This record gives sequence, C-alpha cells and structure tokens, in this order.
Amino acid sequence: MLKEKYKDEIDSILSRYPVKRSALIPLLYLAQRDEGFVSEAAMKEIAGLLRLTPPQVYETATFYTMLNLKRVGKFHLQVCKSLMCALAGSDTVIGWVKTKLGIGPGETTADGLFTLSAVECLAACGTAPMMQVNEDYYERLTEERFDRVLADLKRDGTCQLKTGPFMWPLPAPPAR
Amino acid sequence: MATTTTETVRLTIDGIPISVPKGTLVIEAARRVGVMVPHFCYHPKLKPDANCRMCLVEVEKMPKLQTSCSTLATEGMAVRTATTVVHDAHKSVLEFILANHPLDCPVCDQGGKCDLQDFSHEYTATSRFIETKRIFQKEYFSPLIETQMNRCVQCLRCVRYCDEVMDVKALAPVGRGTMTEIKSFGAHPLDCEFCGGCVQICPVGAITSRLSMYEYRPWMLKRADTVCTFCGDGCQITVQTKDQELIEVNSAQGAGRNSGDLCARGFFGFHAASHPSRVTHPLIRRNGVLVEATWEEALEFVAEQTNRLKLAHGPHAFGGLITGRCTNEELYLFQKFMRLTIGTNNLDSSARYGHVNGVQAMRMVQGTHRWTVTFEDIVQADVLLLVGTNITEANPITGLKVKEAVKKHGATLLTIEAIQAAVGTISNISNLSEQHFCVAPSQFGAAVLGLLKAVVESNYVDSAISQRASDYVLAVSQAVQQLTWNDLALDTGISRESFVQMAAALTGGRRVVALAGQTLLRSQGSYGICLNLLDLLLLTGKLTAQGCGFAPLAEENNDQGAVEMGAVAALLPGALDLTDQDARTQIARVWKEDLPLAAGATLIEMIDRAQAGIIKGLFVIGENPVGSLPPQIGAKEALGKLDLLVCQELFLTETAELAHVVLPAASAMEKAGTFTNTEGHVQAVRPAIDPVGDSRPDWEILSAISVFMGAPLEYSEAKEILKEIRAVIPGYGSLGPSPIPPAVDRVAVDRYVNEGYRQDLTTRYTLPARAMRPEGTVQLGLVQSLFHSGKLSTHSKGLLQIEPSGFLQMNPVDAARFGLETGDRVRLSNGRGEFTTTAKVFDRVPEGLAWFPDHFAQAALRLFDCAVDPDTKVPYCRTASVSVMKTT
Amino acid sequence: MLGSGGVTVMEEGTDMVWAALRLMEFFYHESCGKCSPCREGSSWLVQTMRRIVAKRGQMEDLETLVHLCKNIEGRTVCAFGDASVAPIMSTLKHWRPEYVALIQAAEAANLIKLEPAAARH
Ligand code: SF4
Ligand code: SF4
Ligand code: SF4
Ligand code: SF4
Ligand code: FES
Ligand code: FES
Repeated sequence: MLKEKYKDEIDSILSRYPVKRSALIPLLYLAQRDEGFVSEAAMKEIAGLLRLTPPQVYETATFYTMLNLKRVGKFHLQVCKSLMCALAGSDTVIGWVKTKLGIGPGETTADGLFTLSAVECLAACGTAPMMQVNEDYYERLTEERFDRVLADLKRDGTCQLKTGPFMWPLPAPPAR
Repeated sequence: MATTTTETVRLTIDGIPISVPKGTLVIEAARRVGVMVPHFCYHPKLKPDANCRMCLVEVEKMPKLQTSCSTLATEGMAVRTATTVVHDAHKSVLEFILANHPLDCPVCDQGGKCDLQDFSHEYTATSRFIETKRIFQKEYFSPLIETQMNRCVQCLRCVRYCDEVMDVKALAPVGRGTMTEIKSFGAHPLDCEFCGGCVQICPVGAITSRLSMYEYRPWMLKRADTVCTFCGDGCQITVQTKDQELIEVNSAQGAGRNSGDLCARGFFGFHAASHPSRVTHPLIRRNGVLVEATWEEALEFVAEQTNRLKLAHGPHAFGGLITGRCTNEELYLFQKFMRLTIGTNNLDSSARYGHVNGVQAMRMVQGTHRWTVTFEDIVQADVLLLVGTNITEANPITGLKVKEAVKKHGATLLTIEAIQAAVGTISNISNLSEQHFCVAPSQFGAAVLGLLKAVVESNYVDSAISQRASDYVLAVSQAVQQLTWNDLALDTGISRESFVQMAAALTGGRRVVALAGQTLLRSQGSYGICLNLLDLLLLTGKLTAQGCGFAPLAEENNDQGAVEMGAVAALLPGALDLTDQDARTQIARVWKEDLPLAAGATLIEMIDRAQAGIIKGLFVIGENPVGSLPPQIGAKEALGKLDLLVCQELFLTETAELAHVVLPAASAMEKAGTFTNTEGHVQAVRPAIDPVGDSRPDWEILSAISVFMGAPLEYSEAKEILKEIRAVIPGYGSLGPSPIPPAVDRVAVDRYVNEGYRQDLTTRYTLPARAMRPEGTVQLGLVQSLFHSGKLSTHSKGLLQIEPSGFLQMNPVDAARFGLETGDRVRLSNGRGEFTTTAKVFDRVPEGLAWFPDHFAQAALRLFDCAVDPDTKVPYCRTASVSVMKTT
Repeated sequence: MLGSGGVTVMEEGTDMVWAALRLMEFFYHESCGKCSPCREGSSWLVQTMRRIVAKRGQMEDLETLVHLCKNIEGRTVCAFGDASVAPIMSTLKHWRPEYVALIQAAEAANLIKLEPAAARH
C-alpha cells in the first residue's frame, strides 16, 4: 500500500491542491516511482485517496504515455524520435540500442534491465539527440557517451552524464 | 433557482426569426424552428462537450464556423445552417468520423436507429479513406452490456452520462487518439448500476444490450408505451415485442416523468413477465393437490364456496389483500368487490407495508394524501432533505432528480441515511451531500428530533407560525426541551453543532423539499417521524411556501394508487375516511347500494383473525404474506386454517401454494389501465403482449367471480372502470404529461396546529430506545436492492445476471471484527433461529449494521419479529439483532 | 512554417517529405483525440504520408492531403488542429516536387510489379 509507505509525501501532495482530483498525476507518478509502473492495485488505492472511481483513474493513467501500465525494465530508455532529434540522428541512437542491447521499441532485455521506447519531443531539442532514462535526461548523445551511459547504468544504477530535465535557461554543461 | 422571469433573445435561423429563453443553445433554437443540425456528441441531458464538430453552423460576424451545440443564442444573432460552406463542413467532418468506422451495418444492432447511418445517408457520404482502419480486439465487457469499440465515434456521451446524470462514473475513455476506447477498469468487466443509459445514449452501435443481441431490426418490432412496475417512480417505458415475445425495453429521450432515464430494473428487468414458471391455467386443490382446471370450473368453485361461507358466517368472515402492482382499475374493483359483493371492509394492500405511514401523516398535517410538490420541484429545489430514502436503490429515478438538482443546479443536499459515504460501483447519494448524518434506521427519529430542537433553540421558527399557532409552537418547544443534546449525541453520534448547521441550511432554503423513503417508512415509529418531519417544515415555514413540501416515496409502482382507490381498510376511494358521510353518500349513489360501515381489518389483523377462525375466506391478489412476513406472525398456519383461499397470481408463491384455487393473472405487460406514481401522477398502462397462457387481468377475474356469484360487477374494458372511478373521485387521472399537485389544505393545517397535534405530540417527541449492540452482534436489516423489486424481479433473467442471490453485506470494520472476507460463509443467529449465507464486504454499510436484500430473504425471515404501528397498523419487521459467526 | 512557431534549421538536401512525416507523427501523437477532425485527420494524414514516404503513394493522395488539411483547419476545438496541418501544407507548397518524385517512383515500381499480371488479360 502506498499510503503506508509514503504517508508524508502523499499528505504533502494532497495538501498542495485545493481540488483533490488535481493530485491525481503526482500520485500516479509516485506509484510509478515505487513499482516502475502503475499497477491496478495502485490505481485503486489512488482512487480511494481521491474519492474517484477506479475507471476515472484509469482514464488518466492511460492517456499519458509517460505512465507505464505494464512492468518495464529497470532502466526505461526513452529515445526522442521527433523531428529535431531525428535530424540530429535519433534513428541512429535507436540503432545503437538494437545492436548493443538487442531490443527494439517496446521491447525489454531478457535480464529485465532495459526497456526501449521511442517517444515524442521531450523539450530538449537544442541538445539533440537525447534520451530520457527513468527520470533523467541524457543529451547530445554520441556513441561514446551512449556506451558510457549504458555501462554506468549497469554498474552503478546511475550515470554522471545525466543532465536534467531542466527548464530554460539551460545550466552550464555538466562536468564530465 | 426559480425561473420565473425568463429573459428571451431573438435570433434568426436560416432567416426564420425565433425568440428563445436566454441561455438556449443554437442547436436547440434550430430544433424549435424545425431545423435539425446533425450532431453526435450533443445531448440535451449533458453539458456541451463540442467534440465531434458535426454541428458546425455559420454565425454572422463570426470568422469561423461555430459548433451550434456549445454556442448560446444571443440577441440579433443570424445563424445559417444550410449554406454550401456548412454543408461541406458537415460532409467533411462526417468523412473523418467514418474514416475509422467499420462497414458493419448489416450485423450491427443499431442498424435502423443509428445517427451515423442516418447522417451518412443524408450527406451521401463517400470516403476517400483507403488506409487501414483501426481494429480493437473484441473484449468481454459485462453480462448485460456489450461494446463494439470499432464502431465508437468517441463522442463520450456514454462517459458523460454515466458521470453527469448517474454519478456512477463507471466508464472511461481509455488510451488516446484514434485508439481511444470506452472501458471500465482494466480488463475487469463493467460493474455499475446497469441503468442502460449508456446503451440508450450512444448514437451508434458501440454500446448495446446483450439481452437482445442480433435478434431483430427496429422496424420489425411492435411498440407499446407503458409504465414500469418495479417501483413507485413510475417510469415510462417503451416495450418492444416481436410475435408476442418481449425483445427490448427503452424509454424515449424526454419521455415520461423519468424523462427517458431508467434504472436497471426498468431497462433489463422486463423478462419477469415471460418467465417459464408463470401460472398459465387455473388450479383447483383436489385431494390436497393443485390440479389444472378450466376457468369455468375454477370460477364456479370460488363463487359457490364464497356464497356458502357468506351465508353461513356473514361478510366479515372474509378478507382481501391486493398488491400495489395492480392497476388503479383493479384496485378500485377489488375494494368494490370486497365492500359491495362481499360486504366487508376487511381489505388491504401492499401500501400497508410502509406507504400508508407517509400518506396518513400528510393527511393529518396538511390535509392531502398526495405530495404537494412534483419531480420538477425536486429538480428546482435549493435545499433537499433526504431521510431514510436509500434513494439510489429504492427510487432510482427520484434519485436522478435529486442528483440533477445538486449537480446541475447546485442545490444543497442534506441527508439522514443509513448509508456510509463511500465511492463504489453504484452511486452513493451521500457523496453529493453538503451534510450527511449516517445513522441507523432505529435512530432516524432521534436525528429528526435533533433538527427540531436545533430549529427551536436557534430561533429558526417562522414568525408567521409563531403568531398563528402559539400553543402549538410552545408545545413543540417544550417537547424538544425535554431532550438533551447529550442523549441525542449518544443516540445518533451527531453533535449539537452539526444539528444546528443542518437546521440552518434547511431554514435558509427558499425551495425546500423533504423526502422520506422506504428505509424510514418501513422502520418502527415511522408515522410519528413523518409527522415530526412535517412539523419541521411547518415550523420553518417550508410547508406551504411555493416549491416546498414533503415527499414520501412509494415503494411499489402503484402503492399510491392503492391508497387513492381505497384499497386499504380505513380509506374509501379518494383516500377519504371510511366514516366520511359525504363520501359514503357519493359512492353509494354510484354503486346504488350502501357500503359497510364496520371498521375493517388490516393486513396483520386479518392474519390474526384467520388464526382465530373469525376470517374463513381470503382473496389474495398478487400478495404473498406467507413469503414476505416473518414466520413469527404465523401467516402460514393462519392461512392454512381458511376454508377458502383464492389467489390471483403470476407465480406459485408460498401463499399460492396454500390456496384452494389459484387463478392465473396477467402481468402488467399484458393489460391496460392506469398506475399512479409516487408523485400522484396517473399514467396509462398499455399491453405489450397478449396475456400469457390462459391468464387474465385481475379486474376481469374479479368481475367474473362476481358474475358467477350472482352479483355482477360487469365492465367490458378497463376504461369503463376508470369512468366509474371518475364518477366517485371527480377528475381522477388527467393523464397529462405532468401531475398537478394539490395545495396544502389550510383548513387542515389549522385543525392540526389547534387540535390535531395534541393527540400524540409527547409520544412522538420522545427518543426511541437506544440501539443496544451486545458484543458479537450486528443489527441486521432487510434492504432494497437496486437490481430487484420485491420477489417479482427474481424471475427476470437479466436482473438475475447482475444479482443472482443474496449476500450479507457488512462494513469492512465489522467484517474484520468477525474475521470475515467477501465470499466467506457466515452464520447469523438469535433467539428466533439461525440462517447461513455468504458475506460480502461493502463499505457503504454503516458500522454496526448488516444488510441482506429483502428479495432473497425468505430463509432469513425467521430471525425477525414484527411490531405493528398502533396508529397506522404498519408491520415493522425489517430489523433484528443477530450474532455473527464465521462458518465453513 | 512547419507548425508551432519554432524555427528549425535543416541542412540543404534534407528529405522534406520525411521531415513533414516526422512532424506529422508528432502531431498525431500529441493530439488529445477529443475532437474528430484533429483525431481522425491526424491519423489519416500520418497513414497517407507513411505510404508516400514508403514509395506506395499515388498522385490522388496529394489532393487528398490538401483536402484533409483544409478540413481540419478551423474546425477543431483548439488551435492544435490548425497547427497540425502546417507541416504538410507548407511542404506541399514549397517542396511539391519531392512528393511528386516519391510518387512517381512508386508508380514506376508498381508498373513493373503489375505488368505480368496485366499481361494475362
Ligand atoms: S454504428 Fe451505425 S453506421 Fe456503424 S455499423 Fe452500426 S448501424 Fe452502421
Ligand atoms: S449502464 Fe452502467 S456504465 Fe452505463 S451509464 Fe449506466 S451506470 Fe454507467
Ligand atoms: S461508445 Fe457510443 S456514446 Fe460512447 S463514446 Fe463511443 S460512440 Fe460515443
Ligand atoms: S424500477 Fe422505478 S426507477 Fe427503475 S425504471 Fe422502473 S419505475 Fe423507473
Ligand atoms: S525533438 Fe527531441 S527533444 Fe524535441
Ligand atoms: S454536436 Fe456539436 S460538436 Fe458534437
């Protein structure tokens, strides 16, 4: 149950919105952070917290593609495929994933570590090509940087190259 | 909320000038001049969503085309719906909508009544779409409702209806873009109120009823507009049949008092009439068993025995019971038969189970036997008080009126209900309440007294009544002073502040309607509580004000008619006192004979007299005392002693099984007549099919018996009886589109505040016994389910698919206390007996109570006892204290 | 103008039909799906564009594209619909020959494919 595990955080989320229902997306994110995806049990619990019906929660959860309704790999690689990234080579990035991890969009590696999704613009066009892994951004991808991200993720569960997401203005380029 | 001064605006539609009330949508203004703008997502019941873009029109001085379904008509507006630009827009939007639409018409249940089909013909739509159409995997949706998402045009009418009108919120658009589909929750089948509203409101064949799948085309069906028999709301239904087979029921948008909305019983319950176990031939008991007989034999037998018994023991050796499911004509003829042909006032109807409490209270205080308000007044009320209504389940359509008042018009809802606020698969009225008091039925009286005390102590008493009836106000004030807030809090769990707050809301309302429902009307002390509720309205000045009133809800479809037809012991047709000399004279003039004066026996009294051997013959029409009353009352033994028990029935009930003669009666689907709904509105009942087997309408059977007895009450059709009713009750049954409610009778009110209240004020201003709840016990209550009505609905295959049997419903806290989970077997017991059933955890049930649906309660009845109201003789047998034990 | 007001600089020689498709795919994905012209229109446009890019287009498609775009414009609930047709409208206006070339390639391929079958008649 989320309520027991994240009592304070849930209370703080709920306190932020005068209309209870507005807390829906933050709570769905919380659920996704907990399990890596939004489970039916979580949706039911959130419905109860917000006095909504489960179908009302389901509606929102299925509308936003950032919410996963199925289990995904430990690292969810979301490569932007929109025009700006595409011009800068996002198809190539997807190609790297295929050759290096053996998965295409929508697939998960056998060890359950990586899932690839091709997604639309993540608002980091200026630093294309880019991908989002779970909640972190990796921008200005080159094959070398990409390899390092994969290696670091496998080894440390995170990678120094992560950058954001940021709101404009862009902060100074991260130290390498 | 009152719409007395309606401003109007003038505009032109295709050059035709029209003036409409301010706030009218362009699409509605167009409809008024006969211009039908094509539309999918618009529906008069729903807030505009403007998503389909089908209804585009040109509005002068607006650069872009406008959606007429979301544009308000304004002064001087010039709208054009027939230009090439508009036509092209319609055609192109239709092309988009058809892009992903399958060519399913030949196998689609909507074929012949499909908006999309119609518009496509109109625009001779052709599509340039040569891409791949989306395809959804067919998924099981629910036992009664089926979806075909390939056909969905994503207008969201279904979703919006389920939320805005029903407040159920069981449907969701799932996914996004063209791949959006209407679902409930994940892969789980739909679990909801099954009102059928989404089926009715879907403009295409994307949501359909499974009860009539692939069976027919609309033009092959015969239609009959009639009235539903499953509750007192009196919804108009259209029954569609093919070759004497019941195919489908729906209700046209805007039709009847229900305005086209229905509940599960009305929409899916219609098969009860065609159940294979209907009694189709007369049966006579020979050598202890019921055997088939001809009508002649049966009628002759009944007539001979009746005449014989009457000769030997006199007319008061007879009694009669009739169900409030019968038509007015039948109820009238029944009491005439009992009073005239037999010569006794020993007669009663199912209104005795509770409805007479509300009626007698109204007669006492305001001098009417009907509501002084209508459904419209509920919708337009600014404050609504619900007491023990369980409205969603008992009177679902009145419930919709309440929801409309709150959700659409912002009315303040105050509820005193034995319901815990919780979001569930069916709507919960207390979720809409401004203030909700969750109290056990045994404490409804205390809650109402709390309100009265708050009104008096906060000086909310209307000055007019204080002046006009100072003694009365003083008496009430003194009576409530005897009550302490502490006791009230202990009884109800409600604080003084909350009572004062609710009393303030009530007093502050301009249009206040108080509804009292089945849970209250069937609880002990209900008559007194109804009087107290009327006191509450009277004291706050809400009884006689425009749009205000008291509205007790009828349980059975014609309980109100039963009272008005005089089918209860103490009342004559017109709901007048048996001793009312003017009424007696008037009736005697029509009947050409005097009617008996001796007070008649009511339901329980008749059973007692049968037990005592005083009553020897009983006519029972559609009632089942043996099956519905606790065995403690001894109905079975008493009826077993009768020399003659005649049952007119659809099914071989527990009572009919004891009968000497069973006469097969036609159901409401098979006869003509009128029903009077809970508001007092008289509506036409029309046959949809011929009587099943040899069955005959109850009025025909009564008439035939009288003929065989040699004292004929002859009528050639039901209409002739109505004519006679009108001679007795002038103007009865105007059959207009809406009722004209009576006004509060000032003379009666004066009589009450000067004299009437003295009779019992002190008794009814006493707190009811505090609910004792020994460890290990709960208060078991028999409740009405949304999916059933009496026992009749348990013959309906559709409703049985939703609710096939009874469960013990219990609050999660109590369930945990007894170590119970949904599906566990549980044994209930008390000094009277025991009963084993299955548990279901249900957060709607208040702590300390447990519910069992009345409709399946046969075996549970042995746990109950019965108390009879000293004033109204209503038997209260719906609660019992029981020990709970988990078993295997 | 390719859509929502942003400026994108592309290398000379970029395949503009492909670029328009990418943008259209973005708009199709982002369309909330509430109103039918935008929802159905963007899906239809994407499918047709994919065919053209995959060299399975036909000349009539170009006319259909223009019609569809015009039928979306000004008929949707919000301005998203209007914006979503810009990539196709403007590339068709400025780089029509690129579309035509792709379709001609498709027709040529089709002719070759169809010939044996046609010969049998
Ligand atoms: S929904 Fe209407 S247009 Fe579509 S297949 Fe059914 S009948 Fe035909
Ligand atoms: S049948 Fe169920 S889903 Fe459909 S409108 Fe009624 S409650 Fe909602
Ligand atoms: S199922 Fe019917 S009512 Fe519901 S969105 Fe689809 S077309 Fe509209
Ligand atoms: S049971 Fe009552 S509310 Fe339901 S359809 Fe029948 S009359 Fe209407
Ligand atoms: S196009 Fe990839 S982040 Fe915007
Ligand atoms: S009916 Fe007006 S937009 Fe759908």
